[in-house]
Amino acid sequence: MESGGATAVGDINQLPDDCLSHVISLTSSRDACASSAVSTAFRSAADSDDTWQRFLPPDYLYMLSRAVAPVEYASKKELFFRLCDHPVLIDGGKLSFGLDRWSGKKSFMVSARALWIVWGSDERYWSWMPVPDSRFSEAIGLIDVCWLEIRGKISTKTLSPQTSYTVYLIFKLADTARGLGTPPQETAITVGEEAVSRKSVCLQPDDRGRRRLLRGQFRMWGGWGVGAGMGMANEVDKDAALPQKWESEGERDDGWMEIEMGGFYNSNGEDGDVEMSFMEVKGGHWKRGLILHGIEIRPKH
Amino acid sequence: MARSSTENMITLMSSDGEEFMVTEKVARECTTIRNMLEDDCVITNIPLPNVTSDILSMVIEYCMEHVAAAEKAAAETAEKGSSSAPAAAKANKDLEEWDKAFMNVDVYTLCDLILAANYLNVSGLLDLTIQTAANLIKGKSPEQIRKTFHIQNDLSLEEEEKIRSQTPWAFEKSE
Repeated sequence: MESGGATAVGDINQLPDDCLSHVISLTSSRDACASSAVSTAFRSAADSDDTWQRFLPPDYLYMLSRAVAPVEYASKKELFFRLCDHPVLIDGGKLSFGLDRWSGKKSFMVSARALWIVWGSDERYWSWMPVPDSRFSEAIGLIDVCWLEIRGKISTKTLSPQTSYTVYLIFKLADTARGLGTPPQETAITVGEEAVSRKSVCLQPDDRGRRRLLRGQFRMWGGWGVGAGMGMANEVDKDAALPQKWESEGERDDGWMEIEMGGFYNSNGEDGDVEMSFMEVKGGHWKRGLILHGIEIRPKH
Repeated sequence: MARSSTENMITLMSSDGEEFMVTEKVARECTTIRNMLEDDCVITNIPLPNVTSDILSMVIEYCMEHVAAAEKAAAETAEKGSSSAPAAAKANKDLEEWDKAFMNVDVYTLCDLILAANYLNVSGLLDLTIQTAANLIKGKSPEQIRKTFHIQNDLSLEEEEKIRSQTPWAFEKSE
């Protein structure tokens, strides 16, 4: 059946704007961005609020109502990318809310202030510090403990449904860090009552190697010296062929480090709370120099 | 078509003057026509100046298939008291397969069908055609989308550069 002719019959550019928006809204944020560079008609439909409404989470207005400072935006597309690039602080600044640019799914970071940390309120063991240019205004530094236990939780109702999430510990290591290699720290994730993930991780790839390096460089004890020691763990990595048995940390664009604590699947948001823990309580040795910013929960790619 | 004589027949007239006799039930699949019939129940001849005969015959084919499927499901339910889940699932799957085969058209026809489904307000057909068009966009670069839909790029070089620079990640080759 040939219906094409000299006229503009069947030209997708001739579709009413709302039809073309509807078409593009059934693709993805990436496809909508690509579509906006196709033609003027595509651009108008691909940038429309109707299109981007479909990529924002259904409860985005409620999420924004929890923001510490009002979020201003000229269009829904602008809002989408504002939330992807600069997560907003919500719930009194103890939680951040953002979006994954590929899927539009919600991501969160629980600040150290909202975590439950054993000995965390005793200044002999842990101490709060301001961290400028970071997601949250504060982090908590580990002075010295034997019993290292950090727990956080988030409601499955808050997260995007039908989504696989990965959980990360967001941290830095001070120059004084020690005791965070072997034995490894243990992470666990529980959804509702069910334990779904358990891992061994090492914030310091090899404690002995690191101590040698520290001695060699004659680092000062006391004082956090954040930044100066960054990436040092990687130097150790290069020098010594380390067993790849444990998860290794990665550097983030925001200058913090992250290490994967595990993952879980959120089905319908009806499974209660996700509980995430990071501990080392078996070694009995002193641990110090961990600077904790929070725990991030991001959609898995 | 062997239809009972008690059923009202409606004549639909395409933009190029062709007449299509359909049962009222099939015509009512188009919300636009249903509204007309409800406003004026004696109407039997409806001109559709926005739809060509080629496209109108396809819209009618779609509506007849879906009416027949719904009638068959209703008859089975009435016969057995309740519809059996496996049979209903199979019927749904058959209809999905039929829809899929029905969407095996070129993009010109697809766009005309979207326009007609939108104008006649056939929600099932509109969803089907829009989803089909969306699937043709997914994962493609702007150049590939233009090629697929035979579109001329009427953006200036500067405009296109600006769009690309706003979200460069969306223009990287997908892995």
